Amino acid sequence: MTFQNLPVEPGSLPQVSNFKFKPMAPAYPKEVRLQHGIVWTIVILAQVIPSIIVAKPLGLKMALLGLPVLGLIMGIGFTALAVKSARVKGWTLRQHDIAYRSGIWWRKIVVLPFDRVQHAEISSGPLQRKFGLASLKFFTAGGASIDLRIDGLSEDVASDLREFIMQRAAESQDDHRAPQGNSEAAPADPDKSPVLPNGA
Amino acid sequence: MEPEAKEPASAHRWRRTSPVAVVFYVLKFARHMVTDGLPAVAPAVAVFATADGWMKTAGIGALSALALIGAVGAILSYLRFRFRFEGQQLLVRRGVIKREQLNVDFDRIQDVAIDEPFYARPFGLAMLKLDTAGSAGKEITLPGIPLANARAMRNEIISVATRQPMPETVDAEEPSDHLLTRSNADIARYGLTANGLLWVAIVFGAFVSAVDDDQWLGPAVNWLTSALNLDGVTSAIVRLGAPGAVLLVLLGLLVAGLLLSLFSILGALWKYADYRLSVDGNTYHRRSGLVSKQEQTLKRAKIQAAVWRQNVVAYWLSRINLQLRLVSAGEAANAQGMPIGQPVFLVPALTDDEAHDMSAEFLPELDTRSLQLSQINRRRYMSRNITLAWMPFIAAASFAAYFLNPLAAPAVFLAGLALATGCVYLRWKRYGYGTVNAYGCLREGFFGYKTTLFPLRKLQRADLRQSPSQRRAGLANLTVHLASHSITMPYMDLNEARRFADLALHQAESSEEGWF
Repeated sequence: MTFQNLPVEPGSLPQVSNFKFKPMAPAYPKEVRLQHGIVWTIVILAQVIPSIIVAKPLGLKMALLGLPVLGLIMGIGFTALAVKSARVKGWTLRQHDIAYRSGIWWRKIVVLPFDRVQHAEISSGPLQRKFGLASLKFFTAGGASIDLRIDGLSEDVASDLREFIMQRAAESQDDHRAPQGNSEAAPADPDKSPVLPNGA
Repeated sequence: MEPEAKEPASAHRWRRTSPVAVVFYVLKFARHMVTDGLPAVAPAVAVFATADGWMKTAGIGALSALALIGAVGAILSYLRFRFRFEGQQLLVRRGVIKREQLNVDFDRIQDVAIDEPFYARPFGLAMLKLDTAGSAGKEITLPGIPLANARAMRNEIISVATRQPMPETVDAEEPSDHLLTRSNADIARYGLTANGLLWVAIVFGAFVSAVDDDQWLGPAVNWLTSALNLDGVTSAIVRLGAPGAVLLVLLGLLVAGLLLSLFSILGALWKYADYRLSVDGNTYHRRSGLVSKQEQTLKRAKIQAAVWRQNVVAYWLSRINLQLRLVSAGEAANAQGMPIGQPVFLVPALTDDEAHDMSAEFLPELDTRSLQLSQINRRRYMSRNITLAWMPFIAAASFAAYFLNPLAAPAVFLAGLALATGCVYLRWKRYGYGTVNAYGCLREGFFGYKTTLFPLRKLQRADLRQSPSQRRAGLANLTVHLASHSITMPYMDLNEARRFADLALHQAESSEEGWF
């Protein structure tokens, strides 16, 4: 077991701060807006029910209409936030890792080396499929908390990305003798890729 | 887990374990009943125990039925359990009601342990315990095979997994180079420190997030409290009056503390008495145990991190417990909703010098003595956390002012502020980070500390997180994910956090060696 102890100049390392993030697919904010729109429409419709049930005192009937109004305001607000956060998200590839940025106010950058990816999974729900979108999830060792999930990639990009990363992972793992057994880390056959019916 | 999927051509080579394994299954059943079944049936047992007549008879009947089920189940388990080695695979068929066949590749096995339970030692038998990578709860136990065979199997599995032939000498009784022994006094100290965490938990329950791996204490304490007859205590308090009651309570706490320490020491001795650590090339062996002997084996390459733990008691005793952390759980375990285990190889009760030396042994070329740790931003970390820690005191002060005396409010405010500041300051002071050679070091703690030392190349993922105020102040939280556990270093200088992440990523991506 020999350790390299390379004299690395602090400035010469590839830097996390120099990432140029690509935004998610253009359809992603639209999909988020529609998804939130549907959910909030259902909520607002449900909030109208009390007003319909109460028939007698007209004042109360009118006051209860405040509920859906409140729902409308909240719906617009939260949908706008979700769309904004969808626009803020971004990803980028380097030679050896993938980086993912998210968060409007609480910014987060995640960097995952290809070599650490155990396997990857593409999923797309009905709404995502309508917009030609997919989610890509990377599984790593060490528990669910460090699995990386990237929403809002176009279907083509998602499958290309998975193909590329699994290939790189297999290569680098072959370099230093496959850690977790080859069968699991090998790139999946694109024809057999599990496109789950619901975003799992 | 595909039952009967691969029908082997030479099924006659399937082997059984020794019949002593029946004892193993009986004990397993009994333990299962006590830990999982007892809380549910305890009321029924209480009723049966106090009742007489037909109820008592029914109770005894139910108990003997249960015992019969256990015995028959154990015999069937023994009969059903078969294993064989095929190339570099271990095949196991087991199960009474649900039958399963497991195919385990040697190179997926991350931990091999040999237990010599007290009932098997007279027969020269041992249990071979295999822990497969990243699947907590999928341990495989071969109960009741001759000790020499168990050792040979272990050596073969390890030599396959490391792709290095084992020296022949390891089959001998004394397998390898002696590295470290712990006297039973050392182990007793370890027992006290394991208890120390419990003490802290009792006093500062809310502040402590993690209790050490001494789950055996819980049931013992429960049993103790139920076994004490509290009626006598209450009547004594009534007789003695207020000062006597205080004295009695203090005395009770003292006795409880002594008892807990005693349990803790006994528990530590049970598992770690005659602790002996030896090394053989890249493989470590631990052998210890008071009545039942345990042998645990660890390959150096599997170590994801070394963690120094020192709590208050350990600080008083000037001892450090060194934990070697392995892969804790993979997605396979999570997909099946299994509890995430924390595989740990413990080197207990080290002195300061020993801790430095042992760290360099497990993580070669790591010079912990020359390690300089930087601290996180004090002003920002403290101002934010004092605000949070003070909240309950503000609530308490308002409460006191309203119900007791308006004058009490400022006193409670100030006391709260002082206490919150003190606690947050302690917490701040413990945070530290640094790198030396190709290793990273992250320290956190409160009264004691927990220092994680890890090869930078074993990083799994790095996260940088910034709140709006941290962005303005140029600070960031860095989370380092290892395959064993994750550590967050809050309120680092942004450039320092980036530098740490860049260095670790560079090591992880450029290293010729794997992480596993």
